[in-house]
Amino acid sequence: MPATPQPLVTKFVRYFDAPTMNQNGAMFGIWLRLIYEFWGFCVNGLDDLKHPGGFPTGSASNIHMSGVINMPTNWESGSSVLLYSNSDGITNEGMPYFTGSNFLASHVGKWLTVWKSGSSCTDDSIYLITKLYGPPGTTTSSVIGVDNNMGCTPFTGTLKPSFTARTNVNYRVIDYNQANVSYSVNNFIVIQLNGAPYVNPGQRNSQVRLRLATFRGDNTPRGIAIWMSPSGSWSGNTFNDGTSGGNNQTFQPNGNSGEFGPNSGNSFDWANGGNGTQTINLLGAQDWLLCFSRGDQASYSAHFHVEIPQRIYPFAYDPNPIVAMGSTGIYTTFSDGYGYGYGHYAYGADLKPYKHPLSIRCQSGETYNSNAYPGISFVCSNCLQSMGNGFHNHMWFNPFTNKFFFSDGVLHLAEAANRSAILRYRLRRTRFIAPIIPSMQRLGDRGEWLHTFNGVLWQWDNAILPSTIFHRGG
Amino acid sequence: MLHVCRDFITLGNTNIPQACVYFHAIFLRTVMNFTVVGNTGFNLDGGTFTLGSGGNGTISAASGFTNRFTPDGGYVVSSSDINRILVIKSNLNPMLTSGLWRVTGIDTVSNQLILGLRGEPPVAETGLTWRLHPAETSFTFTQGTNGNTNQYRGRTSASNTARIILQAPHATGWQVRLTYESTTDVSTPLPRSTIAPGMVGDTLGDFPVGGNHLHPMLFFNTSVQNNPYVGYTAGWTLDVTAMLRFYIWGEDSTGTVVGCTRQVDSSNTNSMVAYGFPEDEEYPTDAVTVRRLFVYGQNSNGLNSNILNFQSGPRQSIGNCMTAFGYSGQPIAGGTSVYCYLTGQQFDTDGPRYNGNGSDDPFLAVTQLLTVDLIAGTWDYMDFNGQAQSLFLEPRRLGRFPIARMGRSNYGSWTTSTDGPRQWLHTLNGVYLPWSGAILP
Repeated sequence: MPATPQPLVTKFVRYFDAPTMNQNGAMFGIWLRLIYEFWGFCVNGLDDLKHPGGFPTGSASNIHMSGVINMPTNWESGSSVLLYSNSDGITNEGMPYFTGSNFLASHVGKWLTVWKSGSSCTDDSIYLITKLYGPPGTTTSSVIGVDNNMGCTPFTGTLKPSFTARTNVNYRVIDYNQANVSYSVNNFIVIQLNGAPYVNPGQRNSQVRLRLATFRGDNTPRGIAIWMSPSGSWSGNTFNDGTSGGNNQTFQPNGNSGEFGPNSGNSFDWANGGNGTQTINLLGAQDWLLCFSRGDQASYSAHFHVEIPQRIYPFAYDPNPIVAMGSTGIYTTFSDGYGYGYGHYAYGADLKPYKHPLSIRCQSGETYNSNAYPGISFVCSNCLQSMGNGFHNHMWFNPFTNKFFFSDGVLHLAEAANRSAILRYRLRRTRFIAPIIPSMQRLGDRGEWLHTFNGVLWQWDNAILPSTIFHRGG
Repeated sequence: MLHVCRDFITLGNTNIPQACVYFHAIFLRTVMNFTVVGNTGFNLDGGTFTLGSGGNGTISAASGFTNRFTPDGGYVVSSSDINRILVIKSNLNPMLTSGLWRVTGIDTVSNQLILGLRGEPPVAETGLTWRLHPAETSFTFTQGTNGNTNQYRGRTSASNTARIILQAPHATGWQVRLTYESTTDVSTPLPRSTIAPGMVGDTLGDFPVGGNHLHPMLFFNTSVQNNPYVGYTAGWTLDVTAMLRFYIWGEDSTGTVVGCTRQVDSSNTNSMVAYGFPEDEEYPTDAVTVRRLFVYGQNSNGLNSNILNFQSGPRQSIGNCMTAFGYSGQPIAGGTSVYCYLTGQQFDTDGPRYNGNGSDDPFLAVTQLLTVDLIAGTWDYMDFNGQAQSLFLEPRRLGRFPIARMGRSNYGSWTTSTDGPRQWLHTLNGVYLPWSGAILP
């Protein structure tokens, strides 16, 4: 099997227990702050300690374009945010500690961003700094302890996340408490997916604007509005490739707005709309990004997923595929425009965003039919999430080959005759199985998939953790 | 190379199960170059069933129609040839000339058979392999039991049930048993005519009980109503006398076949069978040949209609089954796996294939076709009479459903694609098969 190109190697912030947020929209503002750090340095980092990669580029002196990040002052690298940075980091094979320079006692409890430019190593991540190595009373040290389970690389044999041997590692010490500032619904970042041409030859570096948003018409961010630009056309204040949209406050997934995000109806905000703490999970490579969160105060979780899918059509017809999904919870049940079942959006031929139902390979034929599976209680309309009951669990596990059976997912477009596509895209970064196995079960020949909840599998690196990555549930 | 038998119609009302066995057997023998391993009551290579053969026949035109066949090898045409079936293999025009052709007349002056044309004619060429067989109405297959109560009746020399085993010209030497089953076995129920790929058949046309093959009733040597092994011995259509149109696709390097029947009136039904190797098999290829084989077809006798479809499941709710061989060492039941909605599925009426908004793709301006997978070991019962948990569940992808593809079901039935060469034929229910040229309505 050929090696995965570096831009397509998925990296992880397996979990991030965020500090308490209580300012306007800060529960979502810290999502973007964490994404800024993970996307800009861990996934796309250059050997530049202050300027992230993976954003629409400007001139050499302004490495990312003006207008790409519209956030509160000093949000990126203010002195109270970026506490220290250097490029003299050293890690050792199988070891839990990180060696650098000039770490302070006050850095304990803050977070360390680790990366090397062009690296495929999943050590590139964000870590809670847990201690300063040295004699009692030490106030400065070159060695710190971190929570390896947040990132790192599965160690041979044990598969426990540990560092690998590297030198000249870049790092930044960040205080995410400083992300607890007041946000508005005009705050956003624009990311660029430089891995797109590695997925689909000839594809432009597609871009996505992630904006703090609400559907209520006020100025309290209640979720993330997503606006995709297939050709990557950010001009400094808008996309210029004809994808309709703009800074409106309404969400009309099948209408004229290019954005989508918090559910288009009036019944839901995304979770975490209030104050408090939350656990955030980030997964991404240069072709995709997934952000999941559940807060202490929330009765459900929220997440979004942006991906360059596998192109099905010839380049001339569909040069720059990109899809995105936002959802409360990890479900496959809903058929009304959100969640994995019907929540993926992509542009139609008219460059308007449409929701695309997702399909999987049905291993028993064409449908999961309640008449054909006696004893199974279908809590939704014969959907995969309802499957799994005693003996029938063996439909998803072969005891002879010792392998689980799961499916890829493909997107259709089926809302009207002039917009019908029986197969539009194939998703590359998720898989699906009946929920017959516990959360955190690893699947695949190399543990490359992780069961989250309700049969949804995320990409994984075979790591074994002492606990779930969903510290506040799913 | 893919060969197609295009729209061969029975000679009036015909014993349909017999015709199914017969037409496929003669297609396999000549077009696919299978060899006969053994038979009972169906000596295909003997003088009763093979009336002439050669390797250098010629198709030519006369009076503006390319419908003349000149046999080689000294065969002399006669009026007795009328209504007989000429089977031709063409390596130059496998989708137009290969297949079954009805002899509708003779030209004794030129010593030529005149072929009945149904749509696109064959192409004028020479060097054709051919065999001439009697009309399907000129004989009657026998069927009778071996007298072994509660056992499968259609085996051993004590049973005169007509059957034949043919071997594919493939390195694995896989075989297929075509059987006109006994009335007693059919009552269990079993399709009247069945298809069972397998290995190591004998001269009687039988596979061993418990052997490497996909005939569950024979494997378990059982024929008891509502027994656990009912419902996944694959076969054909209704057990009636009627008129029917046949289409057969065959890939001659593997021996894999897909066949469709098309009703002429409501006395019979449309159907589909497939057997042999999947395409795009899992890698590495299984070292045990029988675990690579599959058969897809109807799973009972006359219970369901409109089964030209990608379906699979218990016979009392779904008309078709997909049978393979498991690591458990026995035939197992599986699915023809299509993409279905992750949520909101409705049995047989929804899903991408049945979406009422289906149309040509807005990007490509063509109808999209998708592959269908074959997944073995996903049904634990196939009769639906309370025998749940009787078969092994051991899910495993075999590969891709061969030759056929899935598309939107609201494309015109039995119509071809509109591209120049008309490369695809939509049969029914979103089942598309390779085509070339015109088709009769």
